[in-house]
Amino acid sequence: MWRKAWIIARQFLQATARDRISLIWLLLFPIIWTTLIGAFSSGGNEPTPVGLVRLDSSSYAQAFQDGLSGEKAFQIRLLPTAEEAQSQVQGNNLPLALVIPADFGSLLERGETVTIMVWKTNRPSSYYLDELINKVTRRLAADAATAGFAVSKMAERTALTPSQAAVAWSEIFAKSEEGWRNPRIEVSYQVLTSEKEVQIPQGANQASPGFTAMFVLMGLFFGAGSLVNERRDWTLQRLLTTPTLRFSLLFGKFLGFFLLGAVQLILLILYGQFVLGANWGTNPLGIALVSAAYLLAAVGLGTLLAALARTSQQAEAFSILLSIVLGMLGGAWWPVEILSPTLQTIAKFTPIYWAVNGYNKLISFGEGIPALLPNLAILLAIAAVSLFLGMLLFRTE
Amino acid sequence: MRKALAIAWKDLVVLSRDFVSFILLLAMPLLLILVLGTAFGGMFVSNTAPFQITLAFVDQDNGEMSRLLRDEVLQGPDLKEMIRLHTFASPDDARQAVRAGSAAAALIVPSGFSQAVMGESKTQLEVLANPDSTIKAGAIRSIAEAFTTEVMARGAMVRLTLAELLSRNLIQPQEAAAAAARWVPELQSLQSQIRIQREQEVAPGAQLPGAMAYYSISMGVMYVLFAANTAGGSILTERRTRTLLRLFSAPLERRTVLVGKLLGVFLLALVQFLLVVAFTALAYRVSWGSSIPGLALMILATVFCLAGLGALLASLYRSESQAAAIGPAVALLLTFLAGGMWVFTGGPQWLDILSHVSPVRWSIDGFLTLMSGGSLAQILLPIGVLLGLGAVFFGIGFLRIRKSYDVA
Repeated sequence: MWRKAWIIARQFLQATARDRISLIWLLLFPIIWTTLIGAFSSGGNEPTPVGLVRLDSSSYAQAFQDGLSGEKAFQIRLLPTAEEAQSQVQGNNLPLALVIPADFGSLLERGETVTIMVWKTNRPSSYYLDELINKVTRRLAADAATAGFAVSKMAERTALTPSQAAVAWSEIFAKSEEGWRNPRIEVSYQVLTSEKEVQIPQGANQASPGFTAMFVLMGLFFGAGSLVNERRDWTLQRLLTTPTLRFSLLFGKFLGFFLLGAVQLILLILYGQFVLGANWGTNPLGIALVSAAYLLAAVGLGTLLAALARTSQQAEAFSILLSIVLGMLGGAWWPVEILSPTLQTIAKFTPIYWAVNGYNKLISFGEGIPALLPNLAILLAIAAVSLFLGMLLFRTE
Repeated sequence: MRKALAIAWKDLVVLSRDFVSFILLLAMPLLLILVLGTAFGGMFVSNTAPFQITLAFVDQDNGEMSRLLRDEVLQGPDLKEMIRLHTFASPDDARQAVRAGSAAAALIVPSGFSQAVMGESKTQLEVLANPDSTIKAGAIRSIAEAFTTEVMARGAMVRLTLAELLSRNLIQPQEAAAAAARWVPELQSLQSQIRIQREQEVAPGAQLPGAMAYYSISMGVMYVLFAANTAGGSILTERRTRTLLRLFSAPLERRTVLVGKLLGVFLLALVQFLLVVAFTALAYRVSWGSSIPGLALMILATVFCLAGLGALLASLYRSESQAAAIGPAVALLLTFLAGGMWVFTGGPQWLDILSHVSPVRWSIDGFLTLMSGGSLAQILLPIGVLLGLGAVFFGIGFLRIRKSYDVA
């Protein structure tokens, strides 16, 4: 019985390895995708290009520019004219551009209000970009307010000529600006972790585990979908006319799916580790445990999908769409925390969530195997329920 | 032409008979739009609270400054909706709450904070973040930084003004404290001299398309490409099941059969996109703009282009399984390149140029312009490009498929 199962599994693996099309989804596409996304989602560290038009050459405009340049999240691109800035933003080459007007310095000195024009695309843009511009503006406005206030107090006590007032204004502005270099009140920020100093998953450390989990699920959905093809082409029924138990047949198929997923997972992990620079190597045993439990759950869900799909087109279309939806919900594409509370609750019903969460515990939070117990238990429960239902519902005819 | 239409209609009926697939395949993009729209909804729209943040607050200062921070800032009119404040007696309790995940972040005001602010000594606010909620904790950090900037600015005003007056002998040292106290109301009423005017490409009366609207376009378009690919793939199914040969034996020109088949791909994609537009407008309250002719033309141009791409892809496949595997990969990559999954504005120039290769990018541009209140005249370029690309795709697809028919 076991030997037959093994032969069936081996035959499945050989057929898959020969099928160049399935290799696209098993390896080629995941590699392209993970590389692309890893490069983009390291955006946490990549500065955002911001256009700046300086129509004023005063030191105040320079201070504003320095303030913006001082923000790590920004990469300032100087542009010659406001029209150029507008067209760059319209063409979606820049998410935003600022225009410092020609009378910026003189209006500030005179105590009048100046307007900085900010052009933004009509694409959704991050809330934080606005926050950072506000921050720089707040500081500069404070410098101007300080200078204006001090000069007004001086003028209350002594007569100042306009040029004396201007010199004093400028000196106090510079002192106030200087004060920000060594702020007296700071905000310390600490991410609470179990024990050690750790990294929050981002860039390759988010993309590699997340998309590895998603594409393994997709691969196994595809693999299990082959059961539907076999049913269509009558090869499954033919196999059952031989002295092979239904159990051996299904077990052999499951074993084949599991091994296929394992090979795919190992290759994608190696790619993540050595090419993308993700940190997979912290706890190999933990990674293996989470992976094995996850593969079982994925095999179970794949079988269930094959049992429910009536045609191979259905199975193939759902393999992709379903794994993308489960991946988005389960934290493969981005940290689950950005989802709404309801979706976060729903996320906990997806196997990807428990796999990615388990990998994160090991890769990013430096936790040990005991912390993985809930993940393993839930993944195995998903595997048991879905395998049982899949076997129950799967019809060979 | 009537015969071609009959063939197209037949294909549409056959494909829609698989009702379960049809509905489920429609449900998937709607679910994707929902997930993406709600995931990014709060973060993208500026000047609105990005989300609800549960904050553990510890006030060890019990001074004027901590009161100001709590009552005027964290629970002030601007942030009240966004922040749910839970007060804790000790930093350890707050730390516990953050660790347990019942608070996204903790903000600790140390004892002596107010005194340090008023005086000359250094001090700091402490923000603790739950590792699963660093985005929310980051928002708390921004708020705390804005507060300390404001506080430091007021302090600097008093200090620098006094220093200036003292250095010029305009005030006696013993008068300084009294003068500073007199200035407080004046300092509080100071208005910022710098105004930020944000200009967005939105027509008067129209709203900036939010994440839900954005993803309705990108996921809707991606899904149309999926659908066009499936419909194109059905030509291969007909070849396998030999029903195509039967059609050829009917008194029909091969060209008519082919036009009918391609028309079927177009009609199927059109029906499905219309369903996405209607559903997102009704259920997700997405406004697709006020220009009906503009919208109609954009839909037609998008569907024409993507159906053409479906036909072109179908002409390149050798089997149905190729269609099932390659089409979705192409759809995902083109959508990604167009910024349809992650909104990347201002990436490297080459990426922007590359993204214009994707028809999805032109669709997103056109629909976004309409959603921002743009008129038909403003979307002529995307419409032109989509129609042009569509014509090229259909042309090549038609010729290639006809050639393969001759062989068949």
